[in-house]
Amino acid sequence: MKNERKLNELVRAAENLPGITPPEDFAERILSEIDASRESTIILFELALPKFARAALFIGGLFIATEITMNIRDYPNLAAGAIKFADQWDAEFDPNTIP
Amino acid sequence: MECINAFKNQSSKDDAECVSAILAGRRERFRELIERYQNRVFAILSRYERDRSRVEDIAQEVYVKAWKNLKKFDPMKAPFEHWLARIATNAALNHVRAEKRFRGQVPLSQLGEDALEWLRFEEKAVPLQAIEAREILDHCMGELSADEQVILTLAEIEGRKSPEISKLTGKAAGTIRVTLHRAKQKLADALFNLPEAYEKRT
Repeated sequence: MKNERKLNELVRAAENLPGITPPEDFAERILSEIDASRESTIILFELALPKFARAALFIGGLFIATEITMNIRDYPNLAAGAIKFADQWDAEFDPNTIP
Repeated sequence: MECINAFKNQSSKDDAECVSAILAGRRERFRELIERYQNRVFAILSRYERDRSRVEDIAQEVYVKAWKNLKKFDPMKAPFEHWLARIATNAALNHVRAEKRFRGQVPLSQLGEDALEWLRFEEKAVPLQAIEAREILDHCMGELSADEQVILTLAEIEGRKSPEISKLTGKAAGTIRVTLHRAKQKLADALFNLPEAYEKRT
């Protein structure tokens, strides 16, 4: 290879250049960076997740309350309503009833 | 030699014990790992970047990434030092790729007379200064792809063998050998053409 000797000489000379050394407070910086990222994760868990959980609880509660109310007043419950709706849907697409 | 191996084994055990303690909730033990290997990480990164603040930023990324992936570290597969070196090498590779995309080739500043003489003539008794050698090398490296640059640095400057480079970069040993050969050829060509290009510019 042309210039191989020069290339080796160049690499050996460049090797002698001292590397960059870490600053004294480097470990401190990393640890505070890690703390900052942990805090943002904690904020997500403490603030956002409870909101989602409350919303899910509210929807679930509403569903159960509706079901109970409908049972007490002797309305058909949601499960029975769903079955009725499915039957009507099937009847609509029954090949015997389609002209 | 036995003494060195015993020391390395002890150091690996210490690291593994330290990682277990961190994962068990003793976050402050991460400081030990940072301080034990920060010089090593900076030495790796300094091969690819000469700007102090950039090296510090990349080193910070390396440690934060190590922290986030600490659960994935398996002391049975590799010592912590090698695992961290791999993260640092990947960070360096990403940095070189980004630099090539956004900045292009490193420009050559005014070279000294000795460096110019060294470039022009095949037989030159005056040794090249480290700072000028580094500048010429960085400039010529601009002709190489990011992968070629990293593999050449690991092999020629850090003196690592193909299997080790393979572990660090995740590339097959055969690919490493081919890439290294091509990189050396390109670098030699760039060095050969440099005096003419430099004289044209000045």
